[in-house]
Amino acid sequence: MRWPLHFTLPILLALLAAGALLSLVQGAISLPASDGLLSIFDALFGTQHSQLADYQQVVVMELRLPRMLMAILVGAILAQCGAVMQGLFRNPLADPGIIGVSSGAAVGAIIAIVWLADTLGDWSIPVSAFAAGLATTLLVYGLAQSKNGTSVLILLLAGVAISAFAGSAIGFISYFTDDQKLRALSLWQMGTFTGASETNLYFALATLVILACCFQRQASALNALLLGESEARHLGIAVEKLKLQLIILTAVGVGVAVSSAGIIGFVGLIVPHFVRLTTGPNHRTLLPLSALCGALLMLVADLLARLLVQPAELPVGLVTALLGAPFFLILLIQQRKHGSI
Amino acid sequence: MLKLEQVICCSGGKTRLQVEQLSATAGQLTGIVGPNGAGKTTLFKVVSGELRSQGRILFHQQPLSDWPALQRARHLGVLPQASQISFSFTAEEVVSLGLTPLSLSKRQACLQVQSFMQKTDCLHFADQPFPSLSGGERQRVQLARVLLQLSQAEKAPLLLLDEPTSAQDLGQQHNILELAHSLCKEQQFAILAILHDLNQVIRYCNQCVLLSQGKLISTGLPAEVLSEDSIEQYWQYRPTRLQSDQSAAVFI
Repeated sequence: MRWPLHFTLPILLALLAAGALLSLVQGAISLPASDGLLSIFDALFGTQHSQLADYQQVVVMELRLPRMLMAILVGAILAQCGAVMQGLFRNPLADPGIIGVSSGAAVGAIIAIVWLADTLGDWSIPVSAFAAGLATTLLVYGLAQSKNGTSVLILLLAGVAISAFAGSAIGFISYFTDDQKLRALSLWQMGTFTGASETNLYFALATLVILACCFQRQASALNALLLGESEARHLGIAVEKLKLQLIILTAVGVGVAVSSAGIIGFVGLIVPHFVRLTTGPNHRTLLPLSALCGALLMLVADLLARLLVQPAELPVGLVTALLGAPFFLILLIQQRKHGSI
Repeated sequence: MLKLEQVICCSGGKTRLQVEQLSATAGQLTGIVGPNGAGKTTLFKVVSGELRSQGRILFHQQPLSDWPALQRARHLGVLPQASQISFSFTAEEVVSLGLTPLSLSKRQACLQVQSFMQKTDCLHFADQPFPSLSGGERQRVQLARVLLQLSQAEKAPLLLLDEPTSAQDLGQQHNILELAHSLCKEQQFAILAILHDLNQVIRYCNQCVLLSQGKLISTGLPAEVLSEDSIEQYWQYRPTRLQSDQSAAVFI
């Protein structure tokens, strides 16, 4: 039984709004929801309706708001990239984290953080993450192609190998870096939204808008691609051009997400799978709903990361891994039952 | 309408297909026969542009490679032998993918999808997930999709059927071949069908093309191409020829 779009869309939007509000007012310092809303209203229209003290205003506007927005943007980007990768590989296990693209992008980002950002500026981090993510995606895609389509086994093994290599490269770089950067690197690797700056937010927003538009334009082509590459070609799709375009766009998305928030796994795996179960595999609805659902999941994960051990907080990547790893195992068992592995 | 001249397809230093001359005309159902490894599927891949080849392939007097992708998709359809989709599209959604190269209003599209599903006898499982269907049902769904894809052809369309009856029960085998026959007769389709059942070739096809070891051996009327001697030579099996009482059909 599938849920119609006019039913899922308002529910998701309402949940996202509720999650966003909770994210603003809940945490080590809990605030009334009305004041959270009013303080944003004040900031937007220059009024003074909010009853919050100055330090509470700072918490809402300077700490929680950018963080909440970044969680939404990164969640949406990762979920869309996951949905597209699964369509491209024609396999529900293709998640940027599992097949090693996030790890590859992380190596690029870490190289930039340690050696390039001081001289070239912060823009070098997403660019370097994108370049490394792109190289990794092309490598994994090339390795996984076989005469009978995409080999899941090679896909997963390539992910293991690349993640191991990336882990060792990151360890190597960390070994030679100073203590101050080492602490930042460790936190960043596990995924965090604490460093969300205004520039990062604009960058992530622009990326999401571009990705969402480009992906949506290719939704029909992605649907046709699910039939197989030959069949898609017979339906008039320029398959090679489409694949290259999608690979570059997902690498941009993963690069920006990783450079903004570190390695956050499993969002691109869980979300598209859940959306397919509820509304079907048509990319025309899958892509926008995945973006909304990804944003929601990330908001919830970030909220849990802040609430579970308050006043301290967990890296959000740990929370998504905690939710995602058992889910991945279930998918793996399902695939084994169907004889795909 | 389809002409192959001096077509050679090589891969891995080996000639996989060599066809000096082959043509198919509108309104003609051509059976492609030959033992395993004869080059039947390679011929389809060459004609559909999936494999590169030397020589000339003309489709409506124009080199096939010069056809714009969307125009080609509206005039040339390929039914794959088997198909698997990892995601659970319903049968109806798979058929709707045939709309990709077309421009139809939502209502027209819906009507067309229903109509082609009815033609291929898959309307009664339209809402079922494609991966849960049997091989034969999947093949019929794919056939409906390909026929939908060709529904806006301005010139006579070419349909390549790769073993369209291999997964079907006896009744459906004949339904599909009757449908192919009527598409040729009433809508001027040119159909090339890879078939292993030589009786079906004799009964339904207007033309038969015999391939062996990547070479075109002979082309002509099925009853002439499929003589006892040629069957014995290329399939290493001597058939028994029987004359049916009710019709002129010959069973081997």
